[in-house]
Amino acid sequence: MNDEPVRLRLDPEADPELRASLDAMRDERHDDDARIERLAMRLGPLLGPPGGGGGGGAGPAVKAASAAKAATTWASIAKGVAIAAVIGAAGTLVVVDRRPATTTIPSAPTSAPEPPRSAEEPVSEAQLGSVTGTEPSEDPASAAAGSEPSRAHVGSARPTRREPAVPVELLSAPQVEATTGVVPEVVEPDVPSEAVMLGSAMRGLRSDPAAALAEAERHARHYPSGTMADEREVIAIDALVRLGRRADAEARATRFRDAHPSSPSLRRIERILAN
Amino acid sequence: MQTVATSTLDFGQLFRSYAPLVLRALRRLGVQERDLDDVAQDVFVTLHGKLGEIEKPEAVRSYVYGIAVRHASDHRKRAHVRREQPQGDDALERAGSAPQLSEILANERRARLDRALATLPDDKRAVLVLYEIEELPMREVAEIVGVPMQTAYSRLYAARKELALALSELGPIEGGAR
Repeated sequence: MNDEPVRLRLDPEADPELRASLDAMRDERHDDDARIERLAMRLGPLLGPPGGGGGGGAGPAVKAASAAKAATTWASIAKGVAIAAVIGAAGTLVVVDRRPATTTIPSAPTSAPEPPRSAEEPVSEAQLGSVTGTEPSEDPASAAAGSEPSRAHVGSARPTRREPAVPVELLSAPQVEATTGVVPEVVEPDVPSEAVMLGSAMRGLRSDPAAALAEAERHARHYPSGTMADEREVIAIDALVRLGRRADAEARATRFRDAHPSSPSLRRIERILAN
Repeated sequence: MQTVATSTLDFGQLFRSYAPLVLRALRRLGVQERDLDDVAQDVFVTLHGKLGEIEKPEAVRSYVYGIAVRHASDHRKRAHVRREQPQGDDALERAGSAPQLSEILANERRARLDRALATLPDDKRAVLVLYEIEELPMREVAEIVGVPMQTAYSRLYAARKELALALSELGPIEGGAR
């Protein structure tokens, strides 16, 4: 280590202006909290539940400031994942509960993982609406059947809905479907979670885009209006480009753009197509 | 120098610990603000795929820097960013509405240095950034860029010369340290 050259910034013989510039560059500070949150949302399929329930604690040697920032960020991530889990639970509720009709459908599904939560606060309906970009639904049929996702699903026709004659809470899944005309998303017990499915697709994108595309399509079948539907479309379009299927990629991008003209994922899609 | 130790290679923890470092390094390696999210995402997706290769938590930092260097280089090579606007413009945009004189000068210096760095070939730029700005030990720099120590030294010295030349061509800063 002693024979290393003196760093320019510390070298009294170096150009003073260069030293000052290096100091300025080292001292530059960025408020990257929002960027890191965006990144965490994008990486959601890979991040999984935050810290295995470990909350916001950062690594032991992380500087205090970084740890505080990370903790704040992680609390937001945890909240996002918790919200996603709640949304997922609502979306799969009818299908999971195939037992005879009960009056307690809005209970936590037994097979769903415990939604990770930030320590402080439960997720309210209002938060749910604000995060997903939808107004909280007052329609029990919509809420229970999970028929109205946070955004229209690309390529899927919006199901028409009849007013139920009886409160949907009192119906079993087949009854809900028969009564409302809504076909609930089919989530079978052995189907991986959205995060696992898209994480696999994302990891394989470079090495095996065909498999990544297949995984994205699988996600589309099982979670047509899932919380990560936007991410799925980005992955699918990326995979199509990598497979040389540019026309298909552009067509899929057009459908996505038409369905979600203000989606933040559009910029990424444009970049993928530009490459 | 930021040091991050991890007792386990939990990806969520790694992300939390290294996101600020990755963003900073990518900026210094020439990734523009508008592309930062995309390239940083690529870095972490790659890191996730390499978790199984990392035997010791102490090696994580080098892995992270190495992945960042490669992705930044790939990014710069893409045709549509080849004629890049040096980051100085971004730095000036980030300065805020009413910066102090010292901030203006610091931003100008960063902008000028960014423009000069943008003229360096990727291999030399990476060594210079990692050694002079990230202030990593030369042994680690060599490991990150995947060259012997002597090659890393050679690149550093060459990069310093080219940087000095580029800065002189850009001219002095008004109110600078000369």
